Amino acid sequence: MKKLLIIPAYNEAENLISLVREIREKAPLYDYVIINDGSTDHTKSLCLENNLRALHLGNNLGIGGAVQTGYRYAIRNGYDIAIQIDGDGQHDPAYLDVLIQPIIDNKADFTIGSRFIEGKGFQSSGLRRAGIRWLDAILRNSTGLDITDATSGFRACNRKVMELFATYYPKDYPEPETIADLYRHRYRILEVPVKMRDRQSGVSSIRFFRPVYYMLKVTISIMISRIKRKKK
Amino acid sequence: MSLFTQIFVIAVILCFLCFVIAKLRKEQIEFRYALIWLISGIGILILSIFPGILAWIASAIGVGLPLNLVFFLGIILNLTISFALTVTYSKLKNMIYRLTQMNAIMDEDIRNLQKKLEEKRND
Repeated sequence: MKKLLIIPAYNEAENLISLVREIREKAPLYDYVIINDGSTDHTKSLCLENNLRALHLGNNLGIGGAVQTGYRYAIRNGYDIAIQIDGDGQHDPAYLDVLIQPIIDNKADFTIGSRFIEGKGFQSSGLRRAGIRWLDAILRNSTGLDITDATSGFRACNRKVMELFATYYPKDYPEPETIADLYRHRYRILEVPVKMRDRQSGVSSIRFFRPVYYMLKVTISIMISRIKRKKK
Repeated sequence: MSLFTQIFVIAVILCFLCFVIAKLRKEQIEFRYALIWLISGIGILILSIFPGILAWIASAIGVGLPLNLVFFLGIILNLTISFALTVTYSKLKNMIYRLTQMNAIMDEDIRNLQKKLEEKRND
């Protein structure tokens, strides 16, 4: 089975080398592709000099557009499983096998690495946890799914889900909404316990919380997702 | 409405219509988006030539002051056009996303092909 790690990166040059080294050590059977989302630092030259596999977006598309590029690339190159993993070192490649096991066993189409099931490792600040709990509640309310880490960016999917993501993927703060979308299309969603770390360096620009817009956008988009038509 | 006001309004509308047509002639705006401006411009032109129509409509639907009807219609027109622009903008944004994404993927493809070509030459 061909497995691809999608690593969205915006001005993450300092973290990329160590992340790729860690992937080669802990998960040598996984291919990776960095999506350089129009970084203004030396991400591009760094990737070219060190021969890192990367797609360089000419415009800054934001996290949704960047990740979607990865799914398109995965489909184009015939990957069976695509895994999204942050470029800032929050996600430990050691958990990749656990994350994709339910997909390999055909027990799920989509898995989410959750830091809250076992409550180990980096648990994020209190305010963010409260926000995540709210989104979990909204999802439970509109789908009945018991998701504990709706905003987790550590996720894996099979080919069918990749194809759905290639046609529609929310542009900003996409994670919780995509869960509602997958539920609407009757894909099987499963959470897997993982341990996360605090980011290694730099500022979280991708997941930067602009709390009011974030909460409003995600809450409304989950509710809209519920009344969208099912494409087939 | 005094004759002077009427002539002034007609002159302004004619200038506006000329401007839109000039832009169309130079192919600087898409016909599709110019159409709503042309139609509304012509509509306002007709109303300013025959102000009686406006007064008649206003009294027919129970608006006391014809001027209020002008404001109301103006606001509706503006809202319609800005909403249509939001729809168009969203479509364009999706197109730009797709182009940017495909461009990045093709760029990587080309780099790989170049590498393979060089390897073959070196063999």
